[in-house]
Amino acid sequence: MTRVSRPRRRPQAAAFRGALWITLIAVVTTVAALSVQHFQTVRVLKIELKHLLEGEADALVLRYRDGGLGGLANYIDEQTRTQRRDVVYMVSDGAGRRLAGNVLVWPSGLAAEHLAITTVQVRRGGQVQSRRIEAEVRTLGPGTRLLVGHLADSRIALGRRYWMSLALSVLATAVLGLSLGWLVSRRGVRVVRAAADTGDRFLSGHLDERLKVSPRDDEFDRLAEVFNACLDEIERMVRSLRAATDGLAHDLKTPLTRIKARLELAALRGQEVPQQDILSETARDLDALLALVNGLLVLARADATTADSFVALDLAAVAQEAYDLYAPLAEDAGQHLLLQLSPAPARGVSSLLLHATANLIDNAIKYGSPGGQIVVATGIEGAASSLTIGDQGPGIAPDARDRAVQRFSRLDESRSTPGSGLGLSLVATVARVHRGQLVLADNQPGLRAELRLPLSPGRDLRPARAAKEITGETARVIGTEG
Amino acid sequence: MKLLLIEDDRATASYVQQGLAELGHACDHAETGLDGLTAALTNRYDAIILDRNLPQLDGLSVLQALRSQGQTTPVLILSALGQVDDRIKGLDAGSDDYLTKPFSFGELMARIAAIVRRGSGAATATTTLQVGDLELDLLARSAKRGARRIELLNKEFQLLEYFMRHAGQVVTRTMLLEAAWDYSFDPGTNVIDVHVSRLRGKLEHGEEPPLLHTVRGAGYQLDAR
Repeated sequence: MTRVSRPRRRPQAAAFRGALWITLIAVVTTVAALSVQHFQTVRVLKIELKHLLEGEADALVLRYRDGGLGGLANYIDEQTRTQRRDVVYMVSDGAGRRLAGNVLVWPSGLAAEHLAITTVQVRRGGQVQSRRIEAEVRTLGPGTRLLVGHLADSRIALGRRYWMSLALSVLATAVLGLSLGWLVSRRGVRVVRAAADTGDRFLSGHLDERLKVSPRDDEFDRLAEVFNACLDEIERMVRSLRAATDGLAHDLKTPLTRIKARLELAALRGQEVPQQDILSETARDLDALLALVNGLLVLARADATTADSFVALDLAAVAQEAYDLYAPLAEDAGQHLLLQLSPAPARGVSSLLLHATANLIDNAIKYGSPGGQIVVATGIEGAASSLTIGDQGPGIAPDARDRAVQRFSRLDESRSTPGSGLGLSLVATVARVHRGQLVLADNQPGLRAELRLPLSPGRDLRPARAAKEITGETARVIGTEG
Repeated sequence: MKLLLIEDDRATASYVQQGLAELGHACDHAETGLDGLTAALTNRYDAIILDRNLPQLDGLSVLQALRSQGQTTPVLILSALGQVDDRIKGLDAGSDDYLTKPFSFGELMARIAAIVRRGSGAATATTTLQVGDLELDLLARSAKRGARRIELLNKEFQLLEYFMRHAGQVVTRTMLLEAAWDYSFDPGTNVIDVHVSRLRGKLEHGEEPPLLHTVRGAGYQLDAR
């Protein structure tokens, strides 16, 4: 096996890219937020200023009507002397000469009676300054015009402050974003890298390698769990394939060797046609080989079953049919086959479930105690429909239960008892393709094999999740087999 | 009987031909689907044994061509494809029976005998079946041997009905399994044997002559010998 992932030249690239994106998003957000705020403020200020200037201009127009040019000039002088306000004035005649106010020259082009921005020469506190103002214009009489303006300093300062704070915000966001983004991205990238490393080690033969799952229980941990579950499944398959190959080789070779030996013996004895006993023994071995191949095909077909072939059925009916088939056999074997049926609805392939049930009853008859009872029971238990077969034989030791369902495994090490070693593994496969489980437990005494299928179609009773519920009990959950 | 064997594997073909010859049946052999179809359309046979995987024209196409020509000769399909779907496909195409490879010669003979008899119209709609002093009433679902009533369970009744419909013929365990249980799996020959021996126990009481005979290496035969 080889390393799949090459060493990367820029190991932190993904983390940096992540941080950069986070920062970019934060900066754009900040700029947008500040700009909206700024332009809203400016708009409100502008409306206020317009009201102020219009009010002032209208007041001056009234004053002109009441007191004439003299009264207006006095009022303006008074206003400009106090310097308290940022308001500037000018009254000019038709030739543009100044009649009153502190603006020295009428700004060229300023005529319209609405708010406009312009630059003017203003005398303030004895000095002449060139200032930007926002101005409102009124016509007093023929040629006589009034200008009321407001220094635009505060507006300019506001604009400057806006650009300043924008720059600062962007800077702060960038620094914070880059550093926090780096930290956050690194967590993700670390998980990804750990997964890649674990996968590499797994591929190079360390089948027990797994990802660490933190107690945070976040998405990364879910990813790690799923990743680990995949590795579990692969490990299970690899190990069961090894065991199955060994078992298959043994089970194929034994009868083939016997056949070969018999034929060689016949040839040594110089028999033209082998004797009857050789023929019948050979036929028996060939039957065993065919049964083995058929068993494997059945298993492979069961393994490929998908939910679209499921129909609604009742495990009680399945149990009844299996009972009818096996009751005479059990009686001949001196055992009492008993039925305890209550409705156990499920969805599945009835021929497969019948086959599985038949295998379980067959095992119970084969291994149960003479004169003992075999109880076939169905019913609903929690979220599962269950079919249970309990015998009173020697049972299976808790630590051997996992092995019992593996392909070609026979608990008898010499592998001399009859049977292909596929019976229980078919049951486990049938349970798994139905999203159910096979639970082997102690019947006190004997073996209690329970086939549990989900009651509602969406449920999945297979281990990984289910295994946690059952930990600590003597039962072994075997929904997956070898 | 005169039979036609359409089979491309020569070893299998010669094995079947020899076996049939020993039993006194004539058997023509065609190696390709096309040859087989020509032979089947030009000669009269009692039954045709048809392999599914054939060169030139596959077995199912041969069968469809035969049936579309109005040929009703009983056909038994031989195939390595033994899944339920394959069986159904074969039967849908118009075959009378379906046998999965590898098969025993006894099984093949028993099935050919069954389809040939069915083809001759022996199995008509009857309400009672009779073999010797054994009588089966299909409507009342009751059985009698002479004056003695026989109590039968549902499966036993089905088994006996099948036996009586094939009285005098060899009936194999697989045939019984298909007829009475309709399973897609083989629960082991032992299970069938136990059921048949129960049935036999009910049919043959005390001094009554045996009716249900075991045929070594093949199956059973219901016969009032």
